[in-house]
Amino acid sequence: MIPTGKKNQTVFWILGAVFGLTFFGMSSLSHALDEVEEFVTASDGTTIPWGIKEGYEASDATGKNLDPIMYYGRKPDVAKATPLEIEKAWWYQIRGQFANNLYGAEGEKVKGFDVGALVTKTNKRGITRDSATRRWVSSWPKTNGIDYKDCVMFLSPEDMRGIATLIWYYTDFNKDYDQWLWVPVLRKVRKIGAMEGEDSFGGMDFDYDDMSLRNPFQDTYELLRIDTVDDRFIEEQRNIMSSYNSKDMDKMTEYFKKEAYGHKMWVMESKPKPKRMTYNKRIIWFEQNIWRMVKCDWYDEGGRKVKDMYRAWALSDFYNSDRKHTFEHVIFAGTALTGHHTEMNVLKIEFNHPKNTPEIFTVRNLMRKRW
Amino acid sequence: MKKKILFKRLLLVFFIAGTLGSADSAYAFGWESFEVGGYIRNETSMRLRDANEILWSENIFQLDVNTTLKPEVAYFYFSARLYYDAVYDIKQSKGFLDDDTNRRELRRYMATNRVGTQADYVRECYFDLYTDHFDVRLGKQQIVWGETDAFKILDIINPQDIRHFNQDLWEDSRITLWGAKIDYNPTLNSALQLVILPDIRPLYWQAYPGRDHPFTPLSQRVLPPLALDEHKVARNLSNTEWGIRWFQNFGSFNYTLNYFRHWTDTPGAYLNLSKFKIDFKYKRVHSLGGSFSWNFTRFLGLSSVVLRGETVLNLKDLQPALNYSKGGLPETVRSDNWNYALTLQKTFWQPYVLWPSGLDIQFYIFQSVILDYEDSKTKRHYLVPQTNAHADEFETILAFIFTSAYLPGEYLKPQLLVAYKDDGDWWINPGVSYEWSERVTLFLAAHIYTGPFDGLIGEFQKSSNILLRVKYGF
Repeated sequence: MIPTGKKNQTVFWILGAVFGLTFFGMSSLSHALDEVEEFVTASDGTTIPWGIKEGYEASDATGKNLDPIMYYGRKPDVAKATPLEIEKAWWYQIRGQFANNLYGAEGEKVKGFDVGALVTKTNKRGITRDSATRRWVSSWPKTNGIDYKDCVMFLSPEDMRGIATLIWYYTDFNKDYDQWLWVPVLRKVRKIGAMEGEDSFGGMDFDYDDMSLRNPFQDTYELLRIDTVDDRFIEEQRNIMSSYNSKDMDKMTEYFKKEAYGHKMWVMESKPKPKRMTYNKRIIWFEQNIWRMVKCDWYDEGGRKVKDMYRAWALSDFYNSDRKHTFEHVIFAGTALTGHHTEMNVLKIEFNHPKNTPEIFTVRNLMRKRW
Repeated sequence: MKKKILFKRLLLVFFIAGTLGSADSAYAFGWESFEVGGYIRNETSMRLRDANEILWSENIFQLDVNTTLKPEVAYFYFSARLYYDAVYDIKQSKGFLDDDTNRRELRRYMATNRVGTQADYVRECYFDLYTDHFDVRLGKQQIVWGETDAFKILDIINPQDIRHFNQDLWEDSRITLWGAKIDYNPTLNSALQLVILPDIRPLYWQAYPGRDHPFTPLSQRVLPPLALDEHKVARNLSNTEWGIRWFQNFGSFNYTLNYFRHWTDTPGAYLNLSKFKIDFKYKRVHSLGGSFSWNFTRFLGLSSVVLRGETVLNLKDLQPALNYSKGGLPETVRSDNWNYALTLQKTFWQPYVLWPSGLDIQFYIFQSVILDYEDSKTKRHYLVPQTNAHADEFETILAFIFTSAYLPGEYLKPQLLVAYKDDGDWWINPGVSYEWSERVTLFLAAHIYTGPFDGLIGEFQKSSNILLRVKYGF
């Protein structure tokens, strides 16, 4: 067992000592850190067990904190809301989704697999590529600086089946998130580099900011006007979506007609403080009734439109509860310059689902995935 | 005629199994506790020097079945494979199959399924049991250690089938083993793994020594005309291979510490002149190692990069040598060696025509060090095991890999590997995969080897090839 030769023995014992000390030292440290993860501290200072975190709506009455890394926001007065408050309210609402143990699965059986969302990418020539996913998201306040964790698993197409990603986001906006990719072909979990705000998300027309949370303090905002969801507005949006040959155009129209018709919208201009490569400003339409973004246009420095986005909202269930929380059920993004567009249909979302456990967000869980 | 009938029957089996075995069918039949997948694949390789010479035409049908015995607790996974390399039944008037004896012998070893290779009928077969703190996998499986992609340093559990040198996907080239893998998770983000492997198998060489195959290493081609006697390791309790691994994840940084007590994957050659034979013997080795991944927001002026590494110290490994005191006769000695690899990885996520999902760039440095090298100056002269060339104390390989293949993808996924070894060897591997439809993927690649005739890579310069892989997944 013990090697011969003075040099080899020295190497052997040094490595043995490092191994032993690291194991026992790190084991106890890691255990201490993980214990914290079982609980969540709300903004009012109460500690509540995992799985019963409350979202934006529930905290509306008690929300005291305007710190954007806290999960309990205060809905501003519609009449007096400033552009930054509107943006922050949007941030809180998205944050509320993640705070409530989002579980995106069991929406449909697609080829025998439980699927939570379907994504279709279509290029200018009309060639499409579909993929199906499951998703788990949950927030982890005050745990090693972690903000929330996000796990996505691909079930189709065939060559992507089983690929799964795990991302840990941090409360420090200046720190990169950590991302692991389970590649069944390699039988390895690979750590991969972080994306930045305007980087493409999986070849889709959504960028990283669209799929996660953009720091509201990275932009300046200006309220341009108040718009209304009416026939003129709906027709304009249909024309834009039809220019992409969108298959979800009717779904968006139905949303505007049935769920948002007559509602007022804030139309805001948002400019990034650090300059961006792909755009110079965004024009965002926030629906006042639900405080959600329903439309966003991106423009480059020359004033050319580079991207369109629409989001249709619906109420999603809390597991075993009458409570509801809004969630995007259709998201459309089209890149005007290339004609490429992406449509995401969220088939089912449930909050506070018991299957959304801390174990989901571990490398150990990724390695359990066969597909 | 018999071969044609066999081939037709194989195709029929592929078709029926592929149709019935699809996930759609499993669902249609109401087998909801079953998830069924798999693929049919043909990979054909042609020598670059002569496009008329086919090196292999490999056909694989693989069926994967995952059964949920108890949700979240117990699963059974089974993966079966039919393998047929048609090249040995194709008439070629030149090349390595021109010699009928060579063709017959190679066919016997390499054309169809064979236990203890990547072409085993049972590819994987295991039970998974999950509890709060334990993940247990019992059965035939692949166990993967290490972090890097291009070179196997710590991926030492499963031996490799290197019939196609290093061209096969790692998942394919590993020879699966019967055994147990037990992970104890004291916390959410740490694990202590115990590996027990009573199933001891060696690395699978190209056919058998002395035969002419495009990837038979030089040391095997030039064996003296003596009897060859392989002493296989008996499967008993005392010979069982075992290992432990400690894993811990802090988010930006994760690492492992590893130990594996195992048999060498390749035997040492011991010359027995009195009996005019060469004894091939396997020996026990201690391997101590570790690996890590480290995510940096900023590193050397670059943003968002990942530094990965792995290392292994092999104690009492086998090393071919020439003994000065015995007149320069070849022998195998026990020596220690240390190998490590470091990778710097940067992903560019902005889409471009050639990499619409982003481009992953990795820079590798790999070094292998013979720790007892001073012996080489006084007592004996160390040799490179594969080619019997003079072995240096330090062997270094530098490599760049450009790929979009691992990223959630698009239709077209290009990749390029360029590796340089310090003796002047080059390995250049451009490739592109194209998703013809949701089920059909095409992959076209070239493997170009250059360098000295007795170099680790250069020895295969005549075997540079171009290959086309067509895969139908279900």
